[in-house]
Amino acid sequence: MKFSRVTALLLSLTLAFSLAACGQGASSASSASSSSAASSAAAETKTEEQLLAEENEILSANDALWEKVFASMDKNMTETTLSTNYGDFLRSSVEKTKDQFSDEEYKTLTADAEKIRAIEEQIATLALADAAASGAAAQGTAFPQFEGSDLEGNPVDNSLFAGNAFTVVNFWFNGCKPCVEELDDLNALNEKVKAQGGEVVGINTETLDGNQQGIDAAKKLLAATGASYRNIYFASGSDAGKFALNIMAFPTTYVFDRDGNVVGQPLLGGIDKEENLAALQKNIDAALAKDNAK
Amino acid sequence: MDKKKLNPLARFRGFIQAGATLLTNIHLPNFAKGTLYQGNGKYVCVPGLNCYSCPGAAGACPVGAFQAVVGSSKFRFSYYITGILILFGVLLGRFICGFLCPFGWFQELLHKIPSPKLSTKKLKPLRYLKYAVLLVMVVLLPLLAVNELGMGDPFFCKYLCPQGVLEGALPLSLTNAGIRAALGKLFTWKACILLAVIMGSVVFYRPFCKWLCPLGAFYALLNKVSLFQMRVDTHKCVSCGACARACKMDVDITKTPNHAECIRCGMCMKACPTDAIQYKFGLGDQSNTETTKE
Repeated sequence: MKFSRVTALLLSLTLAFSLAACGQGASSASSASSSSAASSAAAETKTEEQLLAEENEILSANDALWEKVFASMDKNMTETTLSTNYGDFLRSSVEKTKDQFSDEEYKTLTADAEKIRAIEEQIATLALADAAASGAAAQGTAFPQFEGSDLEGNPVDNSLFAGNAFTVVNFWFNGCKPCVEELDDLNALNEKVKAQGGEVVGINTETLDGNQQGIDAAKKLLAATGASYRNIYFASGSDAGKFALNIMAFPTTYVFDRDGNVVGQPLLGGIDKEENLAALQKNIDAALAKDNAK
Repeated sequence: MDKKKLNPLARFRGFIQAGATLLTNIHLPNFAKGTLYQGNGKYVCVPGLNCYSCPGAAGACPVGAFQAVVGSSKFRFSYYITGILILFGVLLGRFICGFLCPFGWFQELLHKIPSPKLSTKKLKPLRYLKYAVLLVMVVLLPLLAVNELGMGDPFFCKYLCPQGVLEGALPLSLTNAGIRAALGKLFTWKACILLAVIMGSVVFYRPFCKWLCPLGAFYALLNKVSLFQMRVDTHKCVSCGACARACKMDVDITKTPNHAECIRCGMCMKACPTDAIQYKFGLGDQSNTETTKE
């Protein structure tokens, strides 16, 4: 009896220690990431809330004038107006309603819009820093140099990134149900971001090395879901191939900037879910802001 | 109790369970890195219920692999996995549950926590639930509940399996920010199942094995024809009933030595005052009347 008790004790101790070891690693990792986030926030002079409050102050200072502008604004705001700088948007609205104001008033309004434009830019860089802090591991890593081809056989290499303001890269494989279910949404996203100078590119891990069976299956799935954006492959032994094969959860979607660097934290899960699309949009916005800041 | 006569398998069962769990999850550094082993070992499945997505996992989970193949649009049945499972079942049967399954060991360790222990004798009908889980969640739903492209979900893994949360979701989300961000309602639901199994395991002996495990159900079907059997020597047996009282799987070994629920743990052997119960491995007459031949 004593023997089995000692055994039980030893085993439960082993389990407890192994659990404790896991916990240790995790807590130290999370504390490291939280402290880095805190330090980056401290480095910034103003928070997003403070900046937004400043904007509101500017607007309320000339309340009566701005009310007129807002009243005559076009109510059909499109996605493009929402993604442009709010200051620019105000400025163009003022231009449109110019004839309602005196020269003096017009000057005040344009000056206000300019100020807001500057603040919006600060907010955008803040968002960028935020994304950088949360994606400490992925941030800054570049997509490896590669030479490959799209599924039609046209050559593709790293110059792909330089041609776009940002590139959304979706990793998937043929047998992955959630991956296939977001193909039509990725296609819609590709159509949408074209206007912003962005592009969606797919990398199917079963097509690496030009595996014909995988390519045929992938083409079938893309056709069935009506997806027409580019899908590319390269050698599985290359650095890019290793990058793709090291991904362990599918679908995973990265956003890369013009230099081929990762922006934000890669998204795990399909963008057919609203919250995932929102998370991806955050990375896209950060990449756009970064590109505009150049 | 005379320890020397006890079969070493039964005597060192705890160590064998610990060793099997370690071997099944041998890639220990991956726990700290938050990554998965994705090498050739994953083409083979391990005998016990052990999640593919455990950072340390050396092989695939047979139940998970089966569902993945059945749920894919290319195949309707997995002969490869079924073949491996039949081989395991015929060689060892539910000996795997008692000695090699990491989740079985986990429940046993929890049961060592001091608390009032409840008998499951009155809950015997619940045993049949696991056959329904095997048929419906592992075979039928992945096969039949498919999208227009013929792709199904691994229903057992996705909606029920607590081992996936314990070994996959929890350790990965502790070290991997992307996975952490992807946790949603489904994680909450399965974490509740895990919690229920954990609390259930403290008061009941192996509740998941008895009532829900589809892998246990599969091995149970093969337990009677497995090469690993129990043998009761009717000459030595004094019909004291100590074995039936000692059995935590609610089996009366003198009546049904190769009952579907017997996990070969050997507690009856420890309890037997006359050493009438033995393990037997191999072909030949397996019945308890064998020893009546002089």
